[in-house]
Amino acid sequence: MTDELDPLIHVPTRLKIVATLAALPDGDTLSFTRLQDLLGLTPGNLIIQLRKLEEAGYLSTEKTRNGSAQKTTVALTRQGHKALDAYTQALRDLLGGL
Amino acid sequence: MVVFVIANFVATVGVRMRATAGVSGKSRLRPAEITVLALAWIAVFLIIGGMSIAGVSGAAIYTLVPLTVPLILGGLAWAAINAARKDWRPFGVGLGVAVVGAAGLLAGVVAAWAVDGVGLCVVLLGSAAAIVWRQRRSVVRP
Repeated sequence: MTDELDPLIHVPTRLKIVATLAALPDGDTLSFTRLQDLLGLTPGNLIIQLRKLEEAGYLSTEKTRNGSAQKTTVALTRQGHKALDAYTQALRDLLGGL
Repeated sequence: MVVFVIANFVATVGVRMRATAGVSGKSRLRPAEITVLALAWIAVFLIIGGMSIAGVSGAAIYTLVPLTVPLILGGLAWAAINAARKDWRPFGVGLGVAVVGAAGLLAGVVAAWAVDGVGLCVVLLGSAAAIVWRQRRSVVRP
């Protein structure tokens, strides 16, 4: 049964990231710094986790430059939403009998 | 009353700014959209001023118009903004609010409060029901 739990999302830090981004309205993005504040992660740790999720196609990042300042925004992709839906369903199925 | 309105406005803006810090994209209002909403709000005062100059009765100017015209103009402005965004739930809310305002206007000074109150409850509960229905279609619930 636990085979159905997506190991990429199952890691607590990445689950927090995906769940936070899933709460955004469709078409919205969240800044890297705000996500970091919300989750209390170091920039290095957040970058590593975001990269893993991005490589799996679960989220997209966009870098914009305004003068000398660079802003990075992240958003969950449709594939990421589906993966979280599947993960949540698998968890419900797993715990449903308790 | 004025203090309450100002405090309410400041608190609402403060909480919204804090909640949406770092969020960008479709749900944020663009300057043009804020201008449309502000113009709708200003138009209410222009209508009241115009009616006052035209010698319309005080009951209509200070009771019926403030109760209904902001709902009509604000609702239509909100509906237009969301039609442009192709966001149909808030479009429906805006249109519903405008219809409630128009019904209140037709109902007259005495009944406008009741029509507005009941009508807005129906529109907002309908919107809430639409949100719940949409969330239940998804396994993930925010």
